[in-house]
Amino acid sequence: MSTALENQAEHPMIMRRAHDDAARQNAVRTLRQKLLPKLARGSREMYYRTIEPALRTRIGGQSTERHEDVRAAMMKLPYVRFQLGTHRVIQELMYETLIDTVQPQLADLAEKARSMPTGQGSLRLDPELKVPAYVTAVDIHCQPGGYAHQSFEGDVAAGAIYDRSINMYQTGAGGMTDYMGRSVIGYLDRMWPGFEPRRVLELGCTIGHSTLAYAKRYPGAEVHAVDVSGPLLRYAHARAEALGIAVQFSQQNAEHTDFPDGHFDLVVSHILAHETSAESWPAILAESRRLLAPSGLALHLDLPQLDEIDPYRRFIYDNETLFNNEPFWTSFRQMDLNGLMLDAGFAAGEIRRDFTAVMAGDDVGRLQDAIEKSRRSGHGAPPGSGLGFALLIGARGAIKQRAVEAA
Amino acid sequence: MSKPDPATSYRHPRVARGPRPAFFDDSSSDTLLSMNVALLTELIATRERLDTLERLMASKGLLQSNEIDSFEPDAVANAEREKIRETISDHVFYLLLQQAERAESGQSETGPREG
Repeated sequence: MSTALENQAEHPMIMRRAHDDAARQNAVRTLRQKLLPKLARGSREMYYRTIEPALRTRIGGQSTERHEDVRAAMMKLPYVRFQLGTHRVIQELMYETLIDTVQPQLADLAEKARSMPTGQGSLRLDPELKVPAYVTAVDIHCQPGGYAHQSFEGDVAAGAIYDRSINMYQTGAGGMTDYMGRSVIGYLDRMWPGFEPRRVLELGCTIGHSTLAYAKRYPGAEVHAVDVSGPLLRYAHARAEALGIAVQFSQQNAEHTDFPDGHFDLVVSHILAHETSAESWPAILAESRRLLAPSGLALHLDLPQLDEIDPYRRFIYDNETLFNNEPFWTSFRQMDLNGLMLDAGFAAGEIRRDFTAVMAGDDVGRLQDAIEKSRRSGHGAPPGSGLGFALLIGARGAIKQRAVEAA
Repeated sequence: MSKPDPATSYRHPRVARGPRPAFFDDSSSDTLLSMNVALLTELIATRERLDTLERLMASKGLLQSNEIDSFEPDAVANAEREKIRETISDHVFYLLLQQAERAESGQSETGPREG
């Protein structure tokens, strides 16, 4: 029997859906989360049963297949073309259904965001901020209009679309779609028990769906979040206020914020890195270092690097760059992260690479399992294990004394 | 008398900036695949609406559990249903049917071609 996918928690800012809007979105979600993994399993089987042994023979028994060879061989298979073509179409249909639904509500949503009563949170916009080219050059992961499109003052469409897309896209995102925040918090609770930051900053927060997990976990902390997009931040602020959670949002470039040196005990980002650029990501790491208070921690969550995954998964991940408007991801995956952290000002003993599970609930057992499995195999996502998140961690002060190692 | 509201006249972009990759050597296959998956989502959505209808009717006592599965259409219903089936089939195959019509009327089979 098939298990039902978890519905997103409705909240006052979310776009309304009539019966058939919801039915279409549910259909796309089922195709994305149930059908695509089944299709991908077929490709994986073909790779390990046919392609990989053939490549191995050709290059004389070595297991270091070049991923260009893997790609060339895989793309010859009609099955793989159908699988990847279907993947792209489902991504497009996700936005088709969402934009159909949001289009008639644009003015209502903008007004709702504008008039949302504000409690302890705040929104500071900077209309002069230049949105970086890596956000505007192409529409990242094919969301029409991208993160920053606005046609009228007060528009929140980009945020409204993004909010519902998370539940459609990501299995196990959780009702509040705060799975990435929870994945970092779960890791922190396990590795740094007793860590209670006074100030938290999220870089590239989009609609604040991860941010809220920190505000809930650390109720005594002052939680800040920055993004370059006005429409996303307007939506994020209204969403947080509607949910009664205090976050201080500001429109700033994560490469150079206006916060003082050493202002935060915890600086985080979630799948931000691969959507930036070769110039900006090192600057964001340096800014994270500048903002850390003594004993502070920076955790940047993304997917594993090229040398941390097997050739089949390299092929799969590179499809995001080739077919899903993620232009920087393939180059990002080949960057020397440790070298970048050293350049950013962290000492060798202040840097750690680790892995955590995709965690929507409080399933600590699953998290421990993922951390330990990843460490044993030496990479974040061994074949058959499903995706895990990779963490790039920087500390002010040597890291080993404070981290509690897994048994 | 008031100015048009920019929010109501505004249309959010429908097309993502960036190149659209091809997965097949013949781009028609990419188009066909997209149409098939889109039709699938419409079919699922319609099936879901029907499910809603059945549940609402059952909850109001208008429908017994086995009534739909054991339903036998009479001659009138059969004829009307035939029309529904034909209309939908023609709608999905409109392009080929148009080409057939052009052929029958002696028009050129396709319009101007690029390249």
